Amino acid sequence: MKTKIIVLTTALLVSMLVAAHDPKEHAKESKAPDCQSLASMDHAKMDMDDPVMKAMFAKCKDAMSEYGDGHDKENHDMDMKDTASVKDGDHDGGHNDDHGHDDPH
Amino acid sequence: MQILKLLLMVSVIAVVSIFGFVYSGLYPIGADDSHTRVVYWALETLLERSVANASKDIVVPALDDPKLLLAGGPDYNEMCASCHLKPGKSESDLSLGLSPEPPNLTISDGDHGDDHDGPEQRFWVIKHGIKASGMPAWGLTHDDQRIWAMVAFIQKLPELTPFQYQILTARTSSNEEHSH
Repeated sequence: MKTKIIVLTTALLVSMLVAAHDPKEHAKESKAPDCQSLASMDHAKMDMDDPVMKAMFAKCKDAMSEYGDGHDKENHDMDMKDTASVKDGDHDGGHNDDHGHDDPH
Repeated sequence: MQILKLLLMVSVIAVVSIFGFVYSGLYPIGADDSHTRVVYWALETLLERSVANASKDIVVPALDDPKLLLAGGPDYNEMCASCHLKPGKSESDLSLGLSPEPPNLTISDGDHGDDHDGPEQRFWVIKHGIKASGMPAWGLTHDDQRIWAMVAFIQKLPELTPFQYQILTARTSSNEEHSH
């Protein structure tokens, strides 16, 4: 019984440590993205195929609709329901095994 | 036979000298005193060879997905930028105070003197850390998906302006939904 209590307490403490690394914890300290500046820029001069631009517009999608931005939403809109390629199982998929290859020692 | 004896004697003297030096406490260990060239070379070579060997079988996923930048940016800003810097910043208390100096990841591969810059090597270093260097093993608390997102962001980092960096690294509630 004692062993079970120790194991359960340890598991609880470990789960609390993991929770401390939850990205939501950092959100409180983070500054909001400067989407107003992005909305006011000339989008015609931007390369909308650039992953950086796509990511910026995806980040600012909600905020820019508030600023009344009506620029080519089809280009900016990313299907965020689609799962990232690394999430699809063949690229680690959130597991901690590096495909079981990275640490042969 | 005499040569063998001589070699043995030289080896014993060398080993005793090395241990004697280690125990003497004469080597300056302060981080504000740079390593000698020989020590620096030995440590760098050890690091490069070890990382290259340990990461050689890692399969690199596609890293050009914008969603990876959105997930990796905030993590980089919170976990890495204080040592490895961000666009518009050329030094920090930590980048100046650590020895060896952490690589400046805002400049292109090769320009910051590191040869272990492949994505698989970066992934390995972020996940496992580097002993006695100040680089922690983030894999103990972060899954592979988050680490690959950081690698994807670091690949793009040298091209980012401070404005782009600010947007990509800001952590928002919608960002949380996308990164999980």
